[in-house]
Amino acid sequence: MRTSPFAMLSPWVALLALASAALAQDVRLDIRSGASSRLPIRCLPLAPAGDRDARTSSVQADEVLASDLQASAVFQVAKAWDPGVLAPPPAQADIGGKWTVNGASVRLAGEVVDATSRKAILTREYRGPLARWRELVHRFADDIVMQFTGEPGVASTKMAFVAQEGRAKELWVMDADGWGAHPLTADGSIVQSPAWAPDASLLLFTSYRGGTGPQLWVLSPEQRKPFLVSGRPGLNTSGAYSPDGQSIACTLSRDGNAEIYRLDARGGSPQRLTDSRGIDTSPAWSPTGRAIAFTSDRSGQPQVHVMDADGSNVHRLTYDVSYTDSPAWSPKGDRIAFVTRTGAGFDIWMCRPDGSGATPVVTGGSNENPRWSPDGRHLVFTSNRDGSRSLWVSDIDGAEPRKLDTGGRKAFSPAWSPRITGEVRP
Amino acid sequence: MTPAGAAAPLRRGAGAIAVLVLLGSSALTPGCYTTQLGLLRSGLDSLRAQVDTMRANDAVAARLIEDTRREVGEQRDLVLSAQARQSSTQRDLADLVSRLEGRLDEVLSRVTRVSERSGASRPPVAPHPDAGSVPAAGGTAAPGTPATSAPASPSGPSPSQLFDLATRDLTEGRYPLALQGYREFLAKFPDTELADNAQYGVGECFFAQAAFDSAAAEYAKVGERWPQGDRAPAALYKLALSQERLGRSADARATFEDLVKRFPASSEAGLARDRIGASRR
Repeated sequence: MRTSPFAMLSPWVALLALASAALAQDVRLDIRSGASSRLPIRCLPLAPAGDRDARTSSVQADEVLASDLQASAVFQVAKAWDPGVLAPPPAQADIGGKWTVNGASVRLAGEVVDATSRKAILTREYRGPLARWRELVHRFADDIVMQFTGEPGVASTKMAFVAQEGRAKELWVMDADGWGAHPLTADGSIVQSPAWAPDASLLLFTSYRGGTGPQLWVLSPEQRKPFLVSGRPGLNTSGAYSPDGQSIACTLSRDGNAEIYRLDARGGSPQRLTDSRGIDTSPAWSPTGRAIAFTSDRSGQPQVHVMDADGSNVHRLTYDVSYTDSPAWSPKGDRIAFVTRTGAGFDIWMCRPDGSGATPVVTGGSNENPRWSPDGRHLVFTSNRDGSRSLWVSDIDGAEPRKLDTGGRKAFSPAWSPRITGEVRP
Repeated sequence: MTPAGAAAPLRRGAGAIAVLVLLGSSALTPGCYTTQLGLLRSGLDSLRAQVDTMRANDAVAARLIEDTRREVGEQRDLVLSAQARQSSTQRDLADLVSRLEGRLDEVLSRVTRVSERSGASRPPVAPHPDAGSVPAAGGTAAPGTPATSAPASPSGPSPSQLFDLATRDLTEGRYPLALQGYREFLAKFPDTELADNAQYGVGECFFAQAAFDSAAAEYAKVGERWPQGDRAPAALYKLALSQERLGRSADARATFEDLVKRFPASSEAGLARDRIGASRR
């Protein structure tokens, strides 16, 4: 009989479950206390075999795998080939495997071994074209996270964002680790607030490319040809897909004032959800699709409000924080991240959906447009904390925020893709 | 300019001179033949020009048609691939959910056993006061562990604790747990300030699970028991929406109108006016 992998890891699983229960109560970023709840693991170099290319690519793959696992916020990674300055705590598992290159294809036979019993608790094989070897490594990393937490990681996801070159702002996309950034539009116009469809097949965005003010467009990252979703008179901005992908919440000003509307996924049959003299914008769906958080200045200054998805039960989210904007609902539904104005710029805060427990999570410089990773362990945001505007990722367990490489371009408005399913195909 | 480019206007100039010579010669030698020939030739020239224009127009139209056809093709491909992806994503999701449920059950039972073994006084994941055994959470639609709350007093949770817990379950999609929570609240604290909100919450639990007949019945109770409560406008609005979903559009219409009449200043009345207007249009 096959023994359950959990049989050997039960104390750790229990510890993780306890840690996450504790986290759920207070997610305030605390740089020192956070890292200790991570599971210590050791990455061994992948054993190269096959072509001459195997050596080079396996060395790169080692680093990518270690970096994915560290970035998952689940593990504290020690690299066997790079002992580092501090002695790491004894690893609970060893990550390794075999890296075989055969012409233009690569095979990764990944293996996770329990450090105490020396038994393999995960062996899995990944094959694909050598040109896309990073995807195999990301998949292995996500499966390792799945093995230890019961939920896959987010290394295989993508990040959409707006990049500025000269006066134009174009839509760009890259891997979640910042690799392979490339533009999806080349209109010489202005793109704003990209949002992913729940199956990650489409990107909804605001663009001035039509020449008649902001309109909502959609494109598939593979085909790159934008289609108009809403080009009604006035503003058509800040679109967001509902969790079931059947509706779009957005801001329209076709009736004179900027209000939140609900459209069908093709942009038709608009239904007005808000009705106030103020400006209502930035809708963010709750993961169940029951509610929508949005920004409204009906009370005099911009404040995040929450309403049911049909427009009823509008109420202000927080009362003890002034000037709040950019709400983002966590994938588990237990937190809403938002920005609040400070003297110089914005800080990112978080609270429960009923507005309680509001607490700052990212401070220092100006930090805007928070968006959640699909596993709810990270926030990506725009920040000028090191000078120019760029994208940063913060783990909600409190590790130091890390900058994403966008090739030195100014970057704004990130959107973390949902998990992308499917195999690596040539 | 290339030599060939320079030659073209030269050739055209030579042609013009030839025509002038021809016209001149026709004027010099009177005769209707030459005149008719000239007329015919100019007629032919204008016809040729017309044909050329039509041909050019045709080419433009053909290109437009080709562009449109390609765009339609691309749109269709996009739709087809989106459909394909959606169905495969749904399958993957169903797989994932069932795998996660299995994993959650396994983890929870293991955690329970570990904490029993270590004699911990506090359960590792605080169960819902009324949820029975912890693994019950695994059966709900949404992932995640049940909401935790501050430790309750020995006599049980306070009204606001119980209400907050149920509301958290509702917000995070654990509808059966939320329903239990709200019902328990109504049973224990029927006369407190939050009771109309709890009754509304019961309606929400059914509405979120598309049980619109039960939802309508529960929303109606809010208006009956707390006719001037602050939840009354929203409850009427949701009652009308439930009636709409049940296909009872006349009832829905009457409810919307009742809402507008009784709470004209509420934001729900604004939405109801929109709805009434839309049904008239």
